[in-house]
Order: sequence, then structure tokens, then C-alpha cells
Amino acid sequence: MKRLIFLGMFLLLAFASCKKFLDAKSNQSQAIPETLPDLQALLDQYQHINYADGNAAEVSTDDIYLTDADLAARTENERNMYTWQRSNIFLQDSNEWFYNYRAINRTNVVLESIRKIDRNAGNAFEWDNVSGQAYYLRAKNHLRGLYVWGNAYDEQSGSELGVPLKLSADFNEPSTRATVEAGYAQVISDLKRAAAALPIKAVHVMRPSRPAAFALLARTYWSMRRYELSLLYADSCLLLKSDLLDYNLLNASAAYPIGQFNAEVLQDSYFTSPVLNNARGKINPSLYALYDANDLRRTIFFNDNKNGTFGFKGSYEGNSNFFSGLAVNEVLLIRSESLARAGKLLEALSDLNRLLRNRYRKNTFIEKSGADQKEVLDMVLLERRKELLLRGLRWVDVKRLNREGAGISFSRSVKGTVYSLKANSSAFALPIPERVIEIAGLEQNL
Amino acid sequence: MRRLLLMIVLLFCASLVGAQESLRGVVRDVSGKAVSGVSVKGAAVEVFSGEDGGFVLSGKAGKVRLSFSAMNFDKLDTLVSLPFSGLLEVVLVGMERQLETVEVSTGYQRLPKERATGSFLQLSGKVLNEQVGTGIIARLEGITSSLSVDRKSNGGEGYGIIIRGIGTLQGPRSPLIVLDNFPYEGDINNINPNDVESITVLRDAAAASIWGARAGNGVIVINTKKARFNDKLKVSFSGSLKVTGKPDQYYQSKISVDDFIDLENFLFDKGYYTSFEVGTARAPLSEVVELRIAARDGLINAGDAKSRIDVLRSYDLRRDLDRYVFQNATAQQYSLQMGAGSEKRNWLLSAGFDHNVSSLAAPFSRYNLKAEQNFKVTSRLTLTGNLMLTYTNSKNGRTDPSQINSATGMLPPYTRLADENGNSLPVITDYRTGYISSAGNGKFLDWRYYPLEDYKYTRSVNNVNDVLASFRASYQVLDWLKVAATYQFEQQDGKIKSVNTPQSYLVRNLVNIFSSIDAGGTLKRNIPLGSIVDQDYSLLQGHNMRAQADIDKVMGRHALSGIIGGEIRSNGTETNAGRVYGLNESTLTTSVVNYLDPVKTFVTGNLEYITNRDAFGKTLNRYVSTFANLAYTFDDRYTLSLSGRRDASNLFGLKTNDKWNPLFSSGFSWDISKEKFWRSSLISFLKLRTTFGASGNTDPRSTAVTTITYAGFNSVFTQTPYAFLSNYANPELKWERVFMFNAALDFGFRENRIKGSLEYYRKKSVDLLALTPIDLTAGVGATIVKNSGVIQGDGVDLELSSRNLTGKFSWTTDFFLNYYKDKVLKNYNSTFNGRGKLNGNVSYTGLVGYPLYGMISFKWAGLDPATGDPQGILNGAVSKNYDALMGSSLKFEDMVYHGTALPIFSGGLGNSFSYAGFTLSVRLSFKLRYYFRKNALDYGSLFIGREGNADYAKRWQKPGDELITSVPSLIYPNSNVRDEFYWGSEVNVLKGDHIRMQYVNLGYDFKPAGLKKTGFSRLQLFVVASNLGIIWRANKEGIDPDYMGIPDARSIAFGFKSSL
Repeated sequence: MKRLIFLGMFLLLAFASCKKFLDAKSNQSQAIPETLPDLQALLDQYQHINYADGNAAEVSTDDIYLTDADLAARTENERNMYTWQRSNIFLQDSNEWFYNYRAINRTNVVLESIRKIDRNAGNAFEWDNVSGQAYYLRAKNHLRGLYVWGNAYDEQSGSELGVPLKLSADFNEPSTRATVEAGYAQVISDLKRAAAALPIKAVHVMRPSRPAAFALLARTYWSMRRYELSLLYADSCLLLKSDLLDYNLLNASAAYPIGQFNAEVLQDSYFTSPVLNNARGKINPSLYALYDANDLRRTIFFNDNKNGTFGFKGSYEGNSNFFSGLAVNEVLLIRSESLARAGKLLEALSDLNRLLRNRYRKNTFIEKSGADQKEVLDMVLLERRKELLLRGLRWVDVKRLNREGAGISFSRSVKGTVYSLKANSSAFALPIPERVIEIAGLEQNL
Repeated sequence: MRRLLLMIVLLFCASLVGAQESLRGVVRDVSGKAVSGVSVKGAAVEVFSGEDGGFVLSGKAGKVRLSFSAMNFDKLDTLVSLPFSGLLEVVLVGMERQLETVEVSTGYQRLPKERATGSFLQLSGKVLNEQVGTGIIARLEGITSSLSVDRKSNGGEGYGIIIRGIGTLQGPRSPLIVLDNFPYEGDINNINPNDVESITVLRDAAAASIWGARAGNGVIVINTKKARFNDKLKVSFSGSLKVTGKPDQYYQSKISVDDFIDLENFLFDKGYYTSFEVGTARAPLSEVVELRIAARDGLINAGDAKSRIDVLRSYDLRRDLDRYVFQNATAQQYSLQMGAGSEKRNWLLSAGFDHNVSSLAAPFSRYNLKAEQNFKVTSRLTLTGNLMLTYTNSKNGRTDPSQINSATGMLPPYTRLADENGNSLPVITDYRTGYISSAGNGKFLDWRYYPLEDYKYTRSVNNVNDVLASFRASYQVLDWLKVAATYQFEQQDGKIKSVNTPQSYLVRNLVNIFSSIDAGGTLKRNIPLGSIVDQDYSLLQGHNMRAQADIDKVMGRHALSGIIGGEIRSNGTETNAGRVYGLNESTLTTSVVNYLDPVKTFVTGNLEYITNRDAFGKTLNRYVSTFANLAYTFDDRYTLSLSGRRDASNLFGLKTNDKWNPLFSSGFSWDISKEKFWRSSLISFLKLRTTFGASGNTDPRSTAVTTITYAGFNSVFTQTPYAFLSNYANPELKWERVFMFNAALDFGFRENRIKGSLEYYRKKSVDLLALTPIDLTAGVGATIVKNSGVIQGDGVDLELSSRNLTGKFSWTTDFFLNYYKDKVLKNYNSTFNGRGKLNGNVSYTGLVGYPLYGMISFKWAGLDPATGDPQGILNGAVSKNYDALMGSSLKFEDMVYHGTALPIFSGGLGNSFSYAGFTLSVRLSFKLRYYFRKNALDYGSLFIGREGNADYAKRWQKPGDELITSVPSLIYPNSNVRDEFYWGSEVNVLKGDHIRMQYVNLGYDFKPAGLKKTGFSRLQLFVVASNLGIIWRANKEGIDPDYMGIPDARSIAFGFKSSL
């Protein structure tokens, strides 16, 4: 019997400390996100946060065209998108709908986790910074979705469907499309929180900062045609950061003359597109014709294919990727336009001339002037067209200008067939990927 | 003690006293246990020994020849003079090959099979050794009932062993592999097959539940040879050489060179290559396209181009692959074993050496050393020490050019690897030929890639060192109670070192890409010229500790046996990887590169960072388990068993409360043939077994909290760590459970001349974790792991073995037939997404009432007679609206359901003949009643990837062709939904049924008498032919449905086995 007691004691001893034994971490590189550095690490995952913007908004405009042969060599989805078809324009799974919501999901994980972290004097700066970044990125991605799948913001927006607003990381939560109005309201509310929380200067332009949040607010209000507010926020941004590149200092013969992370960049992100890539994407001749000989952008933005066609090399990414972040030149143009629309023509022209002085060959630029509001506004819109091409902005620009009565339509000819997209057509809201409709049961854009 | 039966000992005692006309005797085995059912043949009579081994035989006075025979024992003949007084004591000696089936091992205990209620399948060393090869696990296919190997859904990699059907979707599918006592964490191919004595497959819940949460997929227990007490010195030596043919390059029917060149011409005329031509990536264009460009641009004349293209028509990449790249693979294996035992001590020592050369000329060597010692310190205390050392060394061989995948696809089928004199030629891989010859104005390194040479400039060595040491002390506390403590330590070090010398393409390419030439023509290299060395280290350390009490108490007709104990296990891995640039191997100096700033790359002008491979990883898995297993036997006839187990682990993200996962099983068996009423000479043995129990499956990836995984590197931008979301919190997640009911009948006919078992089981997996499609809006991906449903499978396993002929010419047969059919009972996510059910080769269809892996396809309405477009049926009408034909409105009723994608019937048949020292074993295996989808011509991948099959020649080309072909016409531009519809249509679904010749083994055993002078006690020579291929198949296209790519080539092996 003694032996049995001994055995029992041995077993008891062996399992007494088992709780501690099992508390060891099973994978050193895994963590439950519960510290500020963990959450920052999620937001620094640039492949999903910065480098996953969609290209649908740009492919759907007419700044770039493809030859029939080049187009035929592209995939069916790309051909459908290029010709404004109403189905099968996105890949089933890896599409920009998913990429937007993937980033949104990360921000929701951050926002839900950060609530459990006590904000105190010691961590307040980091705490605010991380939550500000998350709000900024959630707004940015919802806004991108609204631009692609929603109609332009107008009086009807309270009853028109925009995109689902995801404010929780719970994937079991069903998705429903919120109204365009609600979408913009959410974006603005997130951005205001972001602006309040973000630092004036970020560690790197890959991360958002307060001026970037102001700039995105300016863009949001601008696309809503709330110009008094876009003026306010553009001004707020430019007070904090207003550097401009002098294109005279760039080497126009370089493969990509404009550097990545340059002085104008407020927050960096990009999209890629096999369709628009300068291997096959050709600049619309009517766009190229807008640049006069002394305009440095003519040689810095475009490479001569030596066959009468031109490709694009003016990305702020310094490579073949298309910059879709925020930069000072856009904010300056938003302020200039907002000023012009408010009738403050001198101030509008001052912004415009400041930009153009840095875009024209030295000593050749003649300052723009004008006293007629329409004339000044058209001047600003023209320069906007010439300055901000291939950033994914033209799509929303045309949508909102058409609400102003601009009547801009797109058309393309492929193998003799003309495809077109009429001004103010509901087809300016692209069809949602079929898979989303199938599984989530959302209402499709018609 | 029963193990002593393995010895071949002959004892014969008889005492001749008195004179009577009848003879009384008793038959025992070498351990002294009575043997019943022994046939005792006299001059004209035959009697059988009773339960106590006794027999009575009467005969005429005088000398009579008695012959004793029984299943599992060597036949014994002897002369006896009648009358005979006293008791004739006969000792029968167990047959070597048969005896092993008597005892089964669970890894926790060895128990007599007749007292086991669970379903155990024992594979003897004899059967396992009918095949030759480096790994033991590879020998199981086709010879093991209830076990199948799936090469398809596992991506064609690894041993996708499935025991009794799939019980999980998401979790690991492989069964748990136990080496002697503990799960083997190292590479299973470390084990020397010659050290293996037998393998036990634990098939049902009662057998496996002792392994708890890891047993859901079944358990394979490998038992190594053990040292024995009271054994004289034995030495054995064996060797073999196996030669495997080259992979058959012509097995996969690929698009012909002529067709391919015509297609390239067609695409060129359509302008398909224009964008590649002007793109900044300088994407490689094929020789045909380059010639067409040169002719178009007036660099050569059109006639020249055409005749040069026509020359290409005579080349065939497959011929060059066969001639220059692949060779016959060889595998040599040598093994030496020795062991002896006294009353108190025994030892066993074995050594193995393997040397293989693969079909790509990659060498592999393995050295095994194993030592075991048992020491009886006192009559109660036994100490055992065990040490297993393995060292493997493998090196890179040639690269397979057919795997090169460039921006414009695989190598064109007319690519030449060598010229007519056998001199290595460059192939077009990453950039256009014209570009690499002019880039850098001669200042760059040669940018061409020579597939036949390049491997010589890379030295990749993979070394693995494995140490497995165990120590065991067992103490007989009371005569019915034994306690034992076992500790096992395992350490596996792995090191991979790849030296890419400056001559290698990898180095030349990287150096060139990161070079720049400034305006003054000065070359700047951002990656210094020198060797690039990649090193990867891994360290695995496992500690296992087990304390266990064994109970074995017999009180009259009551017998109680069982185990109770607990164990803790801890397995840690550490990895680190790194890269050194610019190593000068003669001075051993290295250079630094700038990882912080992006470099403008030469080809595209894009800014890129130089790759930093430095990475560290660490994992630690810990488990604590308690287990108990009790069996009560009444009167040797009825056995009731119970077992239970609880596991806990530190699996990430589990709340401590959820970490314990209790599992149980119970079983009952009844030996009917031991009943008094049983008097059947036809059915000499009959036993009924039934069990029920649960085992579990844990997927370490499925956790209930959100987790992130840090990338090994800092963000190059912010210089801060960044992390991925690796798990999405799903509080609803539950562990998978597998319940299994098993009912079996073990039987033997005619003194076990025919014996076998018939088992029926029902397997129910609940809360199955599966990848379930999810709304993309959730932002977590296209699919997510969820508890998705319940599946139920019913199976029947029949195993039969018979001794058809005994005597000089003997013939034995064994046969097994497995039936398994499952169906989905519940699917929590029942969205039917037509095209989504067709993904991949084998995919989860999740249709309630249908098999887990069903084969469904689109209805086919032939080719459009006017255009050759594939047509389906939509709402009862012929349609070419592919989006609608495959889209969300598609209902299951609109599709064709063929059957299951996994065989319903499978089995094996082995026949063994022996005569005068020769033994011939032939083994067949078969799989019946299932379907597979063949590779279909996909114009998209033909254009983009240069991959297409010979069906291209059968494509629809003119009206009328639709009557003789179902291959759609070539259209440009291509439509991928059209390709997808054709691929998924019913015309591409074929029957998978086939019969395969597994192997043929011919051996010759020299007669002991003839060996006397040589010093050998046994010498056997053998030859084995394996992978003999399919001998019958249902499909008419010559496809081997078990393989994704080229099937394993035939092999032949020669060898010998000897003992001193």
C-alpha cells in the first residue's frame, strides 16, 4: 500500500504546476492585439493599407485608351470594365471591394482593441495617434467605395444607396447598403475624429497625419460640392503643410522623373493597373493637347512612344504604380476652386499661379488673371484636369461636375463599336462584384 | 513474455513407459501455454486438442507417424510407438510471420488481440519488407486495409494518408504517427525501415481514443525491433538497390509543337504580344515571336523568319528533358543488426545506411544508428535505455526546366536545352533576348540562363541531425500492478545552406537588376559581385514524460487489466534564416548591402528594396494529458472496455477553460467460439466486437480570439514592426468531434485456414470546421473557418487471409475490401454557389444528403454548330450565357451530379506462392466507384501561361466538327468564363475506377543445409518490381486518376537478407 501512496503523490506533484506550464506562448511571432505597438503594427502593414487601392475609378474614365489589339489581350473583366459593361467587371474574390473592406476590418480591430487600453498621460500621444490613423483609414476606404459604387452626392443622396458601412470587426454582422448621405456623414465624422487625434507630422507619409486628415476632409466636402467647407479644410491643411515641388529641378528624361515620398506628398497610397500601365495605356490625345510647350508637365508626365502616342510617367510613386494618396497640389487646387466658387477670385488665382509657377519652365510663365468668376473657375478646373490625372480622381470629378451641369460624357471605340457613358447616367455607380451580391444579398446597382 | 514465441525453438519431450493402445498427450507452446485446436493426425485418424491442449488418440500398436498442425505454428511430425504410456508432451513452435498478429500495440500498452475490443490492424514486418525504399510510410499504400493515400487535394505533396475516410475538412488530415511510445515529431523519413518490426493501425474510437484529441484521423503505431532476454547473439545484414525509371515526359499529352507555333503566329497577327514588346518589364518573348518581330521590322526577311520558325518545329522540349535532365533514380539501402540477451540484460544495436540519387541527380544520404538496452536491476525493477541517431544529408540536383514560369508563361514546347552536340543552350526566361544582350553596354554580367549548367553553380546542402533518446524505469509494485515512468527527448537540427556562386543565374540576375550606369558610363553595383549565401536553421526539441500504472489482475474467471496515467509533452521549434551578399569564397569576406533605401532597378526603373532574408521564429506547443483504460474480461469470453482521456494544451487563443477536452470510448467483445454450445468444426473461431467513442480534432489555426502575426521584418518605410491579422475572433468556434461506432466479427474457418474480420463502422463528425464562403464586405477574405456542418460516413472493412495450399508448394492469399460512403447531414451555410462547388480537383460541396466530396458539373449541350462555342442548358433551353450558366441563379437541380470524388470501394489482393525456397508475392490494389475531372484545354492559360494539352488539335474548327469533338473553338480575344464553363462541364468528368499492380516480389531462401559452410544461418535473395502501374482503368484516355501530374515511374530493386 505504501507503494501506492508514493505513486499517488508522484502523480499529484507532476500535475500541480500544469496551469503555468500551459500558459507559455505557442508562437512567438503571434500575439493577441492588446498593446499600442500591436495595433500600430497592424496599421503599418502597408501591403493591405497603402498599396491596395483600386483602379476601377481610373479604368472607367477616358484619360487613357488602349489599341484594339492591346485591349483584346487583356482579361475579360478588364475588357468589360473598360467598356462600361454592367456585369463581370471585377474578379470574383480579389477585387477592390474586398481590399477596401479588408483595410476597414483592420481599422475596426484597432478601434475595438484600443478601447480596452487605458489612455493615460504616459501613452496619450501614441494612443491618439493610433486611433486617429484607424479613423482616417476607415474613412478613406469608405469614401473610395462611395466614389466607385455610389452616385454623386446631391439632394437625393438621403434616399440613394451607397456602400455598406462597416463599423465593427465582427464578420458575422450582416451587410446592408447605407444611403449615400449616411456614408458621407460617417466618413466626415471619422475624419474629424482623426484630425483631432493625429499628430501634425507622422513618422513617415505612409502613415496619416493631421494635415492629411484635413486634406481628405477637403476632398470629401469638395466631392459633396460643399465648397465652403472644402475651403475651410483645404486651408487648414495648407497652414500645416504647403510645400510644392519645382518641376524645373526634375530630370524630365528620367524613366520616372518625380520621386516617391516627395515634398508634396501628404499621405501615400497607390493602385496598379495592367490596363493603364504604360506598356499599353496611351494618353488620350485631347488630354495631351492641353499642355503647351513651356509646360514642364508635358515632358515630365508623358513619355513619347515615338509613334505618335504617349504614355504616362508622372506618378508621384516614382515608378509605374499610380499614386492615389493625398498631395499638396490637390489641396491647393481644391482651395483655389473653392475660393473661385465663393467669388474670391484674387485669392483663387494666387493659389493657381503659385502652383503653375512651379510647373512651367523658368521665366516663361505668365501669371493667370481674370475678373470673371466663370473664367477663373474654368481656368482652375482646366489646371486641375492637367495636374491631377491618373490618380483615380477624374471619375468622381466628372460625377460631381455633371451635377454642376458640366454634361461630361465618356465614349470609347473598340473595333468600330462605340461604347459610351452618358453624363449623369446611373451607370456612374459601377456594378458591385457579383459574388458580394450572391452571398450578402445586397441590392445591385442598375 | 509472449514475444518469446518469436524464437524458433523446438522442444520435444516424450517418455516411453508401459504399453497401451491409446495415447494421451498435451500440446503447449514454448511458453508452456496450452494450445487448443491443434490437428493431430495419426495413421487414419485426426483429432483436435482441447482447451487444455489435451488430446487422446487411439491406434494400432506399433510405430505411428503423428503430425501436429495448427494455425500460427510450425507443423511438427514425429514417430511414436504405440502403445504409449504417460503423457506425450508436444511443444509447438510459433511461426515467425504469423505470431506478430497476436499482440497489438497502442503506444501505451501492448495487449493481446483476443482481449481487445477495438479495431486494430497489424502489418507484419514480413509484408512491410516485401517492398524496398527509404521511408516506411510510403510502403503502407495498397497493402493496408482502411488506409488510402490522397495525392490530389493535398496539392500533390506529402503523404496524404487517410484512415477510414475523411473526418475533418479544415484540420490536419494525416493520422497521428507514433513511434513505439510517443508521437514522432521529427521527419518520419528519418526512421530506418529495417528497424521496424510491425505497424499497428488504430482504426476505431476504442483503439485510438487513448490518443485523445489527436486521434480523430486515426493513429499509426510503428513498433521497432526490441532486444530480448535469454537470446543468443544474432547478427543480420541486408542490402538492396532500387532503380526507378525516369518520369515519363510523354504521359501528359501536351499541345504539339506545330500547333503551338501556329497558335503563336495567330496571336502575333492579332497583336497579342505588342504590349509585352513595349512594356518596361522587358517580358521575355519566345523565339517565334522574336522572329516575327524581326521580320515585321524588316531586320530579316519574311522567308528567313518562316524557315527559321520551321526549324523550331522539329524540336521538342520533352525530348531534351528526357535526354539531358532526367535520369534513372537509384536508392541503396544497407542495414546491420545485432542483439543478444542474458537473463538480466539484453541489448540490440542496429545501423543503417541509405544512399539515393534522384531522377534530377540530387544525392541523399541517411545514416541511422539505434541502440537499446534493458537491465533487470532486481526482479521487480527494469531499466531501459534507447537511443536513435539519424543524420541525413541531401544536395541539390538539376533544376527541372519544365517548371520555369516566366512573365509570359512556361518554356515554349520547342525550347532546346542543348544543341546537336550536347552543348548547353540558354533559354529565354526573365527578359527579352535582345534586351539582355545589349543592356549595360557590355558592362553587365552575362544575363543568359543555362538550365543544364546553372545547378552546378549553386551548392545547396540540407543536413538534418536527429537524436531520440528515451529512458524508462518500470517497477513491479505488486504482482498485478506495475508502474513505469518514461522520459523521451528528441532533438532535430536542420540546416540548409545554399551557396549561389557568382556564376549562378540567381547572382548574375540580382547583381544586374540592382546595377546602374551613370551618365559618365560608370557602372555602380548595389549588390556586390560575389556569392549569395542563404542559410536556414531549424531546431526542434521535444520532451515527453509519462507516468503510468498497469494493472493486470486475474481472479478466477474475472480478469481486469488496464492502465492509468498522465503525461506532459513539450515541443519547441526555433528557426532562423539569413542571407549574406557578396561573399568571396576564397577570402571569406562579405559585403554589406543597403536594406534601408530603395534602389532604382535597372530593368523597370522602379524603386525596389534589396531583399533582406533575416528572420527568426519560435513556437512552443505544450500538452498535458491524463488517460485511463480499463478492460474487464469474464471467463475469457466477454470483455468490456472503457477508456477516457483529457487533453489540455497551450494552443494559442484558447481560453484556459476550453483547453481541456475530454474524450471517451467504450467497447464490448464476445468470443462466441469459446462458448460451450459452440461446436462447429467449420467455423473454428468467432468473435464479436463492438465499440463506441469519440475522438477530437483540433485545428491550431482556429482560435476564438483575434490574433496577429508579426512579419519577420520591419516595414522598410517606417522602420517599425508590422503585423498581419492571422485569426479573426469567432467566439462561436467549437472543436470538431468525431464519434465512431464499430461492430466487428472476427472469424476463422477450418482451423483458421481462412480467417479474417468483417467490420462495420459509422463515423459522425460534428461541428466540422470548414472554409465557408463569406461576404467580402466583412473584410476577412473570401472564405472563413466556421463550424460548418455534420457529416456521417458508413464503412465496411473486410479482411480475409487464407492458406490455400500448404506443404511443399504453398499458396496464401490475403484480401481486403473497404467500403466507405459519407454524406453531409447538416450544412450551416447552405448558400448554393454553382461555380464555387467546382473549385479544384477535390472540393467540399457541402450539399445536404450528398457526399462530402461530390463531383458535380455543368450540363452540356454540345458545341454550337456555327461557332464551336460550348453550350449549356439554362431554364431548359440551350444557352451560351456563361455568367448565368454558372452564376448565383444556378440551382443544384440544373447541374449534373455524377457521384463521389473519393472511391467508395477500394482494396487490395495479395497472393504469395512458395516452392522449394522460392517465394513469389504479387499485390494488386483497386479503387472503384468514383469520379474525377480531367485537365481540360484552357485557352486562357494557353495564351498567358503557354500551357495547353493535346486537345488543342481536337478543337472545333469548322461546322460539322461539333459531331466529333467537344473541345471548343479557338476565339480571340479569349473569354475566361467560356473556358471555365467548358472546364466545369460534364464532358470533362471521367470515371476513376482502376486496378493497379502494386508490386511483385520474388525471393529465394537458400536451404539452411546448403549454408552450413558459409557461416550464414539464413540467406535470402530477392527482387521487387513496384509502381507497375494501372492494369485496368475505366477511363479511355490513359489517365492515372491518382496523380495530378506524371505518375511515379516503375522501379525494380534487388537485394539480400542474411543472418549469422
